[in-house]
This record gives sequence, structure tokens and C-alpha cells, in this order.
Amino acid sequence: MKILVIGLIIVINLILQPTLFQFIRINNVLPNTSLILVVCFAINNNKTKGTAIGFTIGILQDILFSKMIGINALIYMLIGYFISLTNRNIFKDNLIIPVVLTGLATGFYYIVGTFLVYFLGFHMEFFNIFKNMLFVEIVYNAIISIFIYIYVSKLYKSKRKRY
Amino acid sequence: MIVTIVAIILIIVIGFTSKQREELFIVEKWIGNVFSPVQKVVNTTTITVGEGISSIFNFTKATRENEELRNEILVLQEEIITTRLNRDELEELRGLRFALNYIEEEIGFYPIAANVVAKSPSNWFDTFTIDIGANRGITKDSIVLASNGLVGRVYEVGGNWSKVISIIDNNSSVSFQVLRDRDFQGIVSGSISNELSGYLFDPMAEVVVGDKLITSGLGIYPQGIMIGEIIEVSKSSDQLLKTITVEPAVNFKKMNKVLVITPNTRE
Repeated sequence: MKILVIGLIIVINLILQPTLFQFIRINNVLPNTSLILVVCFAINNNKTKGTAIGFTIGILQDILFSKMIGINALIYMLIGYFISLTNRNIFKDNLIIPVVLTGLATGFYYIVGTFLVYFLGFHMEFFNIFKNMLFVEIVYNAIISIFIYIYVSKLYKSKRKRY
Repeated sequence: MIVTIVAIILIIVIGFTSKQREELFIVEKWIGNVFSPVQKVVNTTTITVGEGISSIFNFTKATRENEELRNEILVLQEEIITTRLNRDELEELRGLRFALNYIEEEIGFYPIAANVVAKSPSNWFDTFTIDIGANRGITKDSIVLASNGLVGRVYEVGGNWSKVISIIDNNSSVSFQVLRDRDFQGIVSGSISNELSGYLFDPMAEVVVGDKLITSGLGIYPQGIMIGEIIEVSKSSDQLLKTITVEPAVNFKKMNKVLVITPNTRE
């Protein structure tokens, strides 16, 4: 049941992110809701599930929109893995947690992503990416992550109460 | 342990798929075929609603625009008359050419209209998907146009969808010529901040702000498609080339209908 809901959220995100969310670009930066979802699910799930969710979101996004397959899958999988490794040691009710983790994950995404893209021989203006986009996206993602985290943790809380 | 293995496999997959591929995997095509109709519906709805809302707020702007357009029509009508005269002359000359058995080298392009389905959620690449694919005979490297200019080229083709790389993407470059004088040629390429910048082959070329650029026919884009307008010309002393910044003719933010022309379609 929970898996169905998670799958539905992933699909809805995949449909909304390239269409509706295009209207909320700030400074030409789109909030990476897929990344935020990976972080939020990884905080609430164990190691296997967190990694699997990250991989699924990434590979779907790659297939649908990306130029090469696997780059998002790899990064999201690693993010899901590292965050779900720590999830026994963190307070899940504190809203600072998703904000900080999303910020870190965005930074990680940029570092690993530009690294891979550079070695694949794509022409990129790395200086401009870090100067114009990184900071805006970290802040934007962190703010959006609060709302998504509240919703995602509600999903898990209601289950905990029932049993 | 599994994570490491999957990561290594993924890195290999990235390596394999980073170049432009001839054919997609079946799984990719299927996933695209399922998702793109849904995305199309959502996209059309959001655009319709958004335009409805913005038209309410832009009521005064609309009247002003109406006035401007009326004035423009008057100018254009005059232009039509001169163009008609030119056309008649051209017809005559064509007739003469036929009479002289001159071999024509004309490629007939067959445009197909398409809707933009979704834009890439990545901030680094400027790609989007359209709602037609192999089912309408789209092939790799088909050229995508909007009503007023060049948009990009088809990168990957699925069943009822295809990915398009726009010209403002980091990795795409277009060879251009200045509309005023076809001897001034050069290359423009996209950048991360979604503006076109490029250089002219001839450092002594006299280009000014406001010059219109069209494709030169070198490369995969056919000749004579509008690219944009020069908004800045600069020449630094340590660079031998003259660099320009170009504002694309197409508004890439508000783009929902495009035309696709497939190369090598002869009528």
C-alpha cells in the first residue's frame, strides 16, 4: 500500500515538474523537486528502500528528459543511500533536518554532476553554473523541502499511529 | 555492496549513452510513450489556465497592443504590394529557367506541427519533449522551428514523442550569416544563462546592434531561418575575433507550438 502511494507521488512529480513547475522558475532556476523527494523519502525509510527510491526517480527522469541515461540515477541513488544510512541517528520531527540535508544534497548533486558532465566532454560553463545557479537552487530547494517533508512525514506518521 | 555494483554499472551506462544514439532501447520508448500523453494534457491545461488568468490582468496592455498592431498592419500592407510585384517578376524568371532546361536543386520541406509536451527539469541542459515521434516520420536531426525562428533539432526519437535540443543549450551551436550582408558569417552557441553568444569569422566585419541573423546553411540547419537579433557587439584587444550577443527570435519561455521539418524529405 505504502509502495503504491510512493509510486504515485513519484509519477505525479514526474508529470508536474516539467510542466506546471516550469512557471515557478526564479532567476531561471527550477527547484529540483525530484531531489527533495529523494531526500524526504530517504529520511523516513531504511537503507534498501531509500536507495531504491532514489534510483527509480533518477532513472525515470533520465529516460524522459536527460541526454544520457544514468547520471541522475547515480546521483539520486547515492543521495538516497547516504541519507538513509544516517536516518537512525536523526530526529525526524525537526524541520531543520530536511532543510539542511536538502541543501547538502543539492551541493552534492552539483559537484558530482558537473564532475561527470565534464568527463563526458560536454561543453559547460562551470564557473557560471556555480556562480549563478548553485546558491539560488540550494535556497530554493531548502524552502520547498519544508512543505514536501511535512507532507511525506505525515504519510509515515499516520501509518505509525495505526499499529 | 549492491550500491557499489549498481553505481559502477550506471557509470558504464552513462559512458555508453552520452553520445547521440541511433536507436533508443525499447524500455525507454515505452516509458516515454506512457508519460508523454499525460504530460501533454497537464501542460495544455496549465498553459490555458495561465493564459486565461494573465489575459484578465493584461486588459489595458491588450488595448495598447491592439493599437500598435493596427499601425503595423498598415506598414505591412504596403510591403505586401512591393513583394507581390517582386513575386510576379520571380515567376517570370522561373518560367524562363524552365524554358532553358536549368536543373533545379530544390528540396521540398514538409513541416509537421507539434505541441511541446514537457521541458527538461534539469537546470543545466535546455531540452524539451514534443508530442510526435516515429509515428509521424520524425527522424534524428530533424529541424524544429517556431513560427518566427529557429528552435533546435531533434535529439532522440521515441514512439509518440521526441526530445529536442534547443539552440540556447550549452552544447549546441549554429552557423549564421547576417541578413543584411551574407558575407558576414560566424557561429553562435548557447550558454547556461539562456542567451546566445558567438563570434564572426571575419574580425573586420561591420555588424551593428540590431542586425538580424539567419542560418547560413552550413551544418544541419537549412539556409534562411531566422535566429535572432544582435544586442551587443564587443571586441576585446586580446581576442582576434569579434564576439556578439544575440537575442533569439523565439521566446523559449512561452513556446507551446513548434514545426518540425525532416531532412531529406523530397516532394
